[in-house]
Amino acid sequence: MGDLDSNQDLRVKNSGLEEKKERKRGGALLSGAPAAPGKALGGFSSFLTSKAGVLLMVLGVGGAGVLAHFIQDGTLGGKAAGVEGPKFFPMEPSVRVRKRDPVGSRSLNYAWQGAAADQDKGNAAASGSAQSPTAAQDAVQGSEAEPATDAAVADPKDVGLSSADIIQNAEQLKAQGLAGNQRLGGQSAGGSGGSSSAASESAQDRAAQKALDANALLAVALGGAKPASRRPTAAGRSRLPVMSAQSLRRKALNAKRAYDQLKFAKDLSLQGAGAGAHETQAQYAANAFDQSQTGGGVLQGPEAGKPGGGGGAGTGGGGGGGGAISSLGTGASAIDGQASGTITQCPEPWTPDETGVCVPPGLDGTNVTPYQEELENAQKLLKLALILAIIGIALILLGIKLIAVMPWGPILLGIGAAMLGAAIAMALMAKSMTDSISEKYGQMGQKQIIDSDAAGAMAGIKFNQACMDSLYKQCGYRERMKGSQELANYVRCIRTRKELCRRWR
Amino acid sequence: MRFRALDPAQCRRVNVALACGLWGGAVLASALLAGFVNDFGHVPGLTYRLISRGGSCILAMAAVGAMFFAGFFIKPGKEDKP
Repeated sequence: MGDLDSNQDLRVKNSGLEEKKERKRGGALLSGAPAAPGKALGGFSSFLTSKAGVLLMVLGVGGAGVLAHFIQDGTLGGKAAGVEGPKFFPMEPSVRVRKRDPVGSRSLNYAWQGAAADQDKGNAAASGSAQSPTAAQDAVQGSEAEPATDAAVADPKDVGLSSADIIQNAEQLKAQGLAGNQRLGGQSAGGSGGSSSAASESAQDRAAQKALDANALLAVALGGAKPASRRPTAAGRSRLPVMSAQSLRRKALNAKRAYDQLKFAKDLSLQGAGAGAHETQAQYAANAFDQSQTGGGVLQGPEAGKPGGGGGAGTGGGGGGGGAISSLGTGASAIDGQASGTITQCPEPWTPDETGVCVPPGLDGTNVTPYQEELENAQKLLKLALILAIIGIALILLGIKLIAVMPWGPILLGIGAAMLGAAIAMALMAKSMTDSISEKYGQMGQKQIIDSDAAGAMAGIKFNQACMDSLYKQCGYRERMKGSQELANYVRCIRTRKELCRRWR
Repeated sequence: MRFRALDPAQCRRVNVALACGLWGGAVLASALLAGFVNDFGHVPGLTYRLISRGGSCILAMAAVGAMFFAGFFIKPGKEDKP
């Protein structure tokens, strides 16, 4: 029993300790929670004096400081200094290029010559295949014994090779297995059987495909060029143009010329895009098509008596011995955007800058709203008032907490009160400014009504403007209406007199 | 309003601090007002509004500070220590 009693005492003691711990834990957040309604303020003040209260106040003061810092930088609620607004340049190119004929433009001339050559080759191949419609079959049938004797495949005289060389090349390819000679031979045997039986269309297709394979073989054997792979259609397999090595070389040369011309045109286009003046851009764009360069450079000759002379004034970029090209000439812009000459006149919306280069007009836009500055100032004032109020309240709370502990607690309290009072005054000033704006520029209501009448105007209803002006003088302005009754009277007045204005017309 | 956590000495300090703070705030607000009036003086009507409303606000703050100073709002809830 004695043990039991001691155990009960121990449990009682432990329970009392746990209860104290629970109270202490709860007190970390809400120490001295109000037991009665009258003690609510005491509970709140004790919460403020707790660790959590101090932490919250410190966080509040710190956050207010950060907000004030951002406000001071001007990065809160407004654009940062130095950040430009969006620019809405036109999406279409501003450089206009005139239509050109193929004779005057070298690039178009190249394209025209290439197209004409291809057309001539196609016509020649078609005529050749028309003259010997069974050439493909002959090539298939004779591919085993004489793989290069078909006249429609290529002309050996064009490349200066004898028939023996051609046959030797083909035999080498056969030996290397590149041509699949066994496959070709087996299929040619089957193809010859098919053609001898009924010369059906499918057999002719297979024969034409094999003839193409033989052509490819021969082209490789002739010049080592890789033939173009083409899938013939069922209708035109017998008329496919066959390229000789010479035509391939000619085509490659044309392609190289076209590629070089494209690179040249690309360089000129980039120069034109970087040019400052509109006319210069147009000139560079024209050069890209004509394969010519802007002329007009002044070649400064060497001084008399110096060796290597001979340069003089000239045009075009030609260099003389010892001379130096000073500039591209009047009106032509250098690549770095600096004008070499004096631009006397720019296109209409463009203006010359200090370097003489025509620049487009500023697209940042000009704010024409007369009260925009006042409105922005009022907004800034309101933000500052908000920040001051937050800091003031935080300082007041901190001062209340520290007033019983530290001697400078009342100082914090006073500073917080001053900030709060200044914030209130600033908020009232901001409201005064906005009221002043709405009174001075209080034509927004008139604009809204006129906008609302736009539908009626589109329907043919028009109002007498003088009558409408007198309407607002008689009825007043919407912004000045206070209360629902005044607003209802205003709307009724406007509607009635607007009808009168419509009837007057 | 009586505060149980404040004895008369602490309450006096709080009242004085709040009064001085509000008076200081009134001075600060008047300085701001003068600055805004100078900035926006060219706008007709705004100067009058700023002076009238801002001035009344400053006067109100000064009056409330005087009331704090007189102990009208915050009163002690504890007795003085013997």
